[in-house]
Amino acid sequence: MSSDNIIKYKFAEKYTEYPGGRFERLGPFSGEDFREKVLREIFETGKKIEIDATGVVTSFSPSFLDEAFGTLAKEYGYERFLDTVTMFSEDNPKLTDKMHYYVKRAANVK
Amino acid sequence: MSNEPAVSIFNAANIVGMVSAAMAVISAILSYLSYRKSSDEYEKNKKDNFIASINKCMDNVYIELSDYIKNYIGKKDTKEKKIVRERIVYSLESIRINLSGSSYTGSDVDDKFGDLSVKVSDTTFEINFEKSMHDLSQIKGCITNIKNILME
Repeated sequence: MSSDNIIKYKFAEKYTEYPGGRFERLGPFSGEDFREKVLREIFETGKKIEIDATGVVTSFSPSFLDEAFGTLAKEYGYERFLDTVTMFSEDNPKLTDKMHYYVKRAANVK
Repeated sequence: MSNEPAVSIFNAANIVGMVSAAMAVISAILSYLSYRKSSDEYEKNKKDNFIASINKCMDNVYIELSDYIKNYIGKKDTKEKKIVRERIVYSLESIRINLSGSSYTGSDVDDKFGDLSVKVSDTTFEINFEKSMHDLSQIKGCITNIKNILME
């Protein structure tokens, strides 16, 4: 896979420093909104995304992670998800583990 | 026939040696049993303390969340609201890390805690007070359920 197909996405700059809850109806910058506006296209076009969450001020809530990432893992399969999305934060090294915890839970992977 | 006395294994020096050796063996066995007992008790206490601390943290999350509902549900996102929500999410994250790194709990607790943390998080973004109170009662049930599994 060429590097053109990997999108490097700076979450705090391009989306928000304050990720919200699960659904759009409950407030801005929700997991549902991020999934449909950013992640969906990545999955549909077969690209990959590397999300850099450095600089995000408030924690990603379990609702956000479950709705944004877990729903896609359930829809496209856990393996495809792992192949498509990576996420890290230089100021929160545990974020990757946290994201995978909620993704596995949503995709029912032990 | 020689007049030299027969060499007996029951001479005084040998008897003292055998008694000493027997005492040393008994002492070693007793020390080992004592070590095993205190080691078992240490492990049991460690597990009890771990479970007590997880239970306390979950109780704190419940109390924080009920205060949050009373003070912020249905109101717009203010600085204070974000800070209190952040504290709740941080508490959930701390519990999750402790549970997943522990050998005292299994995947059933992990699963239940995953459900609990998502439910708590959803509730902090709720806009309807009645709905959030309904969620709170479900969360109470989830916490009790996890406590029961931890006690088994």
